[in-house]
Amino acid sequence: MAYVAIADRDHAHAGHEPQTFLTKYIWSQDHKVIAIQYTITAIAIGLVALTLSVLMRLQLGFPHSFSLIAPQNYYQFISLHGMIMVIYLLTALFLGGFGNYLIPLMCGARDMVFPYLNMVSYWVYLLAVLVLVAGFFVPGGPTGAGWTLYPPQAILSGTPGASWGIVFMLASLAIFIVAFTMGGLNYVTTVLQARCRGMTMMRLPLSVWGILMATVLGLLAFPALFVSAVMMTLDSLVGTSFFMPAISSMGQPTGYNGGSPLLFQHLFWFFGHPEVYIVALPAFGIVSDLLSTHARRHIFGYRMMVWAILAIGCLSFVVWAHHMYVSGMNPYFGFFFATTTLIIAIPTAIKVYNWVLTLWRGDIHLTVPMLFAIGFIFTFINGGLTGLFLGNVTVDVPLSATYFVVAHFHLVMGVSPILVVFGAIYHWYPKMTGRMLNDTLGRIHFWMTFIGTYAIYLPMYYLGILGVPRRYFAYSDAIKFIPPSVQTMNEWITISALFVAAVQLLFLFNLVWSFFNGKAAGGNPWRATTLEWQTPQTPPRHGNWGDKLPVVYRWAYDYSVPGAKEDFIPQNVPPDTSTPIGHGHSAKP
Amino acid sequence: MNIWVAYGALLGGVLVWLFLVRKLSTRSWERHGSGDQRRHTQGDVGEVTLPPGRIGLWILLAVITSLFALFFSAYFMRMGHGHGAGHGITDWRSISKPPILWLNTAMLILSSIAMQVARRALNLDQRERVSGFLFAGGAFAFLFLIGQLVAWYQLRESGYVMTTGPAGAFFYVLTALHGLHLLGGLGVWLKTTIRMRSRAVELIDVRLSIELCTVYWHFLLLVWLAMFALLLST
Repeated sequence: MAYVAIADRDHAHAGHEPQTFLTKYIWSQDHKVIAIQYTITAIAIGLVALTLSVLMRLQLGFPHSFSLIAPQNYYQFISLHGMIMVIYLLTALFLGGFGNYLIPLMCGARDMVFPYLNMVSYWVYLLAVLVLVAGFFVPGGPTGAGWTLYPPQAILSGTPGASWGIVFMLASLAIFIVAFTMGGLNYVTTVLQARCRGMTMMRLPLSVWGILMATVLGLLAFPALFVSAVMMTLDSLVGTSFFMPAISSMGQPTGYNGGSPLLFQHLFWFFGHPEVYIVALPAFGIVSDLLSTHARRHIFGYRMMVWAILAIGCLSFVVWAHHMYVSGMNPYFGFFFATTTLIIAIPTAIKVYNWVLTLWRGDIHLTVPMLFAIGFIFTFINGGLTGLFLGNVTVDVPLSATYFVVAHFHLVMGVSPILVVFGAIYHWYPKMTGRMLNDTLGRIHFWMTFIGTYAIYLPMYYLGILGVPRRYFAYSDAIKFIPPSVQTMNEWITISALFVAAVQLLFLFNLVWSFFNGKAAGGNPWRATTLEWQTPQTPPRHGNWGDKLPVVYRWAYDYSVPGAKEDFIPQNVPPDTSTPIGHGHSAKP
Repeated sequence: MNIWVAYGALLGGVLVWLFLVRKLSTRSWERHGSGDQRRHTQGDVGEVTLPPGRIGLWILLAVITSLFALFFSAYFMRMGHGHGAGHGITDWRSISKPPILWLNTAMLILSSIAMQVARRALNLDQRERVSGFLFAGGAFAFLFLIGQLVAWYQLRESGYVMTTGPAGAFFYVLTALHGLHLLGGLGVWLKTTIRMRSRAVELIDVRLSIELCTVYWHFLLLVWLAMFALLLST
């Protein structure tokens, strides 16, 4: 059968390897280099966000002890911490970093289908990060409106950064969305069009499925943020009244009239809730692959996992207003969105059951990636179950804007995905660099991070149930319902947070140290089945596959197949008596 | 947000679902068309009939659709017509639409028609015709943009600036956004037109660019017609 795979359209691709330092490492169009550029930039800006959270915790644990943290600074730290972690770290790392690295390799392609656009995507992302950082240095500093940037306070003079800070924030977001759109076009088109021979959609590893669906969500949801950013910028700079109602500020009329702050909330959360899954779905996919590989067992219910990813993706567009139960919206809306929120728990629960059932009777290897993957399951369950409380209107109302919410979303979309990020880096670092990360340091890193994050967030649930409100710079003695023990608890949380933050330095040290001194990894140190481990060279060279593209004969999860010589059979191994096809999947390429 | 928007989103989700169900069974590496089709896509994807550029464009159109749909949705909500938003917003005052908008609409329709004729001429290998109509398509689009600027000027002269009221503000924002998208398209058009001038460039080399430009032009015409209808009716 004659065929030319799209990925192989330029057969000389592999031969045209860039030679100069600039084209190889800076203005590179190679998806692997771009992935690493994304990863390094995202981690760098993530460290800024981590530092901001440390400063916030210092204020809460030991109020008034640090003169450099004024109330306005505290709000700026909160706002930038949230925005950076969600958008500039997690979204960029999962899609720009892992998406770029894994999609062509796992699909058996030579590169993304639009390599030039891919390169531009990274540089525009970097520009967005630079504009964001520039916001720290403008008069008044960065915005202190909270990561949700709600009007009217976001652009009123009482809020820190209401003049320049908010404009830089909005500009940075708009630039980020442009970058994401360029990258997203590449990810989706590459998965749909550039798969190698035999790689049907239902043979794709779940990592690719998660990244694909998250990208689709991003492409459709980010425009909502773009729309709100444009309109709020005009409200701020030009004086329009899209979101700004008639309001006085500092006793002076503002000139605004008739705008709808609720409109902003709808637009923001129409983006904001899919954003949760933009971060979660790649994590779901990647953790599935980690669990299967390190438990030496096929993923349980592959088809169900794929459909669950698709169902979660679609449903994520009809749950946004559960973030707005206390906004004063129509109560019937609350009923509708509480229902959809409960429905989305079904495919999510299916995934959790399937992860656990994948481990059941598996040959579990407690490697560092596996530890992080299992840590993810625990944390996601803890964080997810508390979401059921917050998804129901009547329970949400008293818990709204308390530390219960802070604990919930940090566990479910902060700690959980970050655990997967760590697991994934420990898993794929050997392929990216050719060297293993130090195992002992990795284990210390896992246990300290895992236990430490629970020391931070479990007490926050308790604080939330007590009714302790979030977003407060300090808790005055005048707030009678808050007992003094809350302060002791805050000190504990702060010390735990400092500890967890310090442990991350160990991880960074490991990344750098192992790059030079790590044990040689070989081509497939985890004895994994997916295509990225079958490249002729490690790290893969430009063009990934040498002269010939791989041909796929089986799904990605042929582990411990009865009758096989080894406990794994790579996707590109044709079936014969010693390498039978597991689980009834067709052997047709 | 209007409950119908929520249901619309749900319906959209179902449609995406159905599309994906169809897509799951496809084998992209097995699509190989007739010799003619292959030649037409040469340089992009070898023997595969569906070039990545085309898929990329359709994905981009989905993103732009989402962008404008959200703007339209915001438009309705800001008007205060949404049941979910019912907060008695009463400051909406319709603006008088500059008559030149009708002429501009005609320009954009002509532009789209010219692009379509150029596309058809491609199939007949009529280089001069392709070149002429391609140029006309871009020129009409350019005239449309000039006309939009005149409309802005006329609106401003009649006393409507961005801060006069939400209807005027939306008018400026929506037309600017649409104009910027068209400007982006004109960038690709310009590149293609310049390539066409070189005798060394075969028709087949610019075929995909012209086809994608035509689809993009039709899409922006549809967006404009929807937007114009919205502006006229409110």
